[in-house]
Amino acid sequence: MRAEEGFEGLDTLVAHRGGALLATATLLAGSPAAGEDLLQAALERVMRHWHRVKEEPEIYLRRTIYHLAVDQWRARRRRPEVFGKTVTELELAAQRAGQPDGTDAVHLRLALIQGLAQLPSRQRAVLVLRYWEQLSESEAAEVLGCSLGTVKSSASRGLARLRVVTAAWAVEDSQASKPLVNGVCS
Amino acid sequence: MSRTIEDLLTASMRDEVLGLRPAPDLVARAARRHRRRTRVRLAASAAGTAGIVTAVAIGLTMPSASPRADRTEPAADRTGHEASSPRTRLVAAMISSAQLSYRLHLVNTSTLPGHRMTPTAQPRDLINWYADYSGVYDPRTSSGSGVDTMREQSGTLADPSSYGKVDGHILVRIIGDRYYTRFSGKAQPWRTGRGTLVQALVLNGGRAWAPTDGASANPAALLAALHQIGSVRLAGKSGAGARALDTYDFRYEIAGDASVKPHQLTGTIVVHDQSNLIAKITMQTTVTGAGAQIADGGQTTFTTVMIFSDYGVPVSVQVPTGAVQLLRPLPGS
Repeated sequence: MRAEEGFEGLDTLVAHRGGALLATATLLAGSPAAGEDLLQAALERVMRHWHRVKEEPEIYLRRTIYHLAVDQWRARRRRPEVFGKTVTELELAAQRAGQPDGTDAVHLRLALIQGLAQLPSRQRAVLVLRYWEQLSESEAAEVLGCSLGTVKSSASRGLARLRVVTAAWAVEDSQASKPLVNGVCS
Repeated sequence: MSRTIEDLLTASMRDEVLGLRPAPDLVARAARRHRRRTRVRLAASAAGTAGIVTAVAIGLTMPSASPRADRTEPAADRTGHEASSPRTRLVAAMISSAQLSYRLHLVNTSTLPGHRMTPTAQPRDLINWYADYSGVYDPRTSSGSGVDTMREQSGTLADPSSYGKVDGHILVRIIGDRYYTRFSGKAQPWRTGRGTLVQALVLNGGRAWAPTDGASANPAALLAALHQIGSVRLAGKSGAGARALDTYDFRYEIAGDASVKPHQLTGTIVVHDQSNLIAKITMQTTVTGAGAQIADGGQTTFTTVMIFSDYGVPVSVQVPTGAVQLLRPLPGS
């Protein structure tokens, strides 16, 4: 990859960490294509402030990805279509839950991802930070520039909505340890 | 084995993004878009906002070309005052104001209407705060100091109420033909370069993001630029006595070039009627790209608002110790 003039180290960063960064952006943006758009927009932002951030570009880049994603989603409100699937398809997937055809777990994961994509922007960002990036609540709050309480409430609400989405499947509630509805998911 | 929804979510996310790799030219694409955006700004600086920056600089560097003004006495004979043309009065006010120290609050923004943050994003107005500066300046000693509040670009943060949110400060000092800037934050050094206050503000500490031309400290060039203002008219009067204000509108045609189409700079200057000192200058111009090298051929609107106050304020500025010399000379220096 050719080094971009004036942004020494940025192409190396993307070469080494591009996959992880794109993964984060994809989860935030709802599809690989939108994720790449988001990552590119974040790179442009980093270039704009290069003289200030060049010492720690990945930190700034990652933070920018989250901020851009949250802001863009706020403007769009909710996305009716994510990961190439519609809400109706999601409902159909839920209806297939429990079918003994070996695809139950696949459908559940699909439903979770689609449910994630339909969450309000901040809830989605918090869940990605917590369960994809494996950051602590305080670390997530620092990345998003919000309070610890906001992270906690966003995570709680986001997970609650995902539980609703996946209610047709058997998912153990880690908060309340409720009995499973349809048995145990492997 | 039972699994919590958190575990399942983690596993689902891992499956969803497994094997994703960014396009090989992603950084190059981002750099191209970045350069196009920068070119718009630089092109605008060459033609569109030269007038704005010049006018700002006029207020800061006008030479002593007229009898000394005194804030305690009327600036001119009343009869002659009324008889003079709006242009003459405006020049006189500029000159009078440049004989005294003052406080200045300067806000310089650009707006890209209907900008898309990404190719698939909804269009929206994107606002850049180039400068939000408050400080004091004494034209007689060419020295001043203040704080430039850096603000986030609108449309980039999580919270809409954060549009223009403060993202740090730059301390600014001007002494003679040098400026000194220091970013907020731990262990930030003072940086110094040769240039004007305008350059210190719009160059963002040495990197050319914004208008550069027209910020020359050459007084003759600045005075000539002022006289080139195309159309000046008295737009109205308000208040009475010491609070009386005269408002002038002006319009300035700016030729196009290979980068930008011909356009106008319009503005309003408010002058204290009794003292003949400038109270406020507002200027705006919209630049349209003329060449394919300009991003999307889109428009960028530059707006500058300057509020002058507290004429005669004491100004004392010290040279910071240990300032780091900027490696590259600044445009217009």
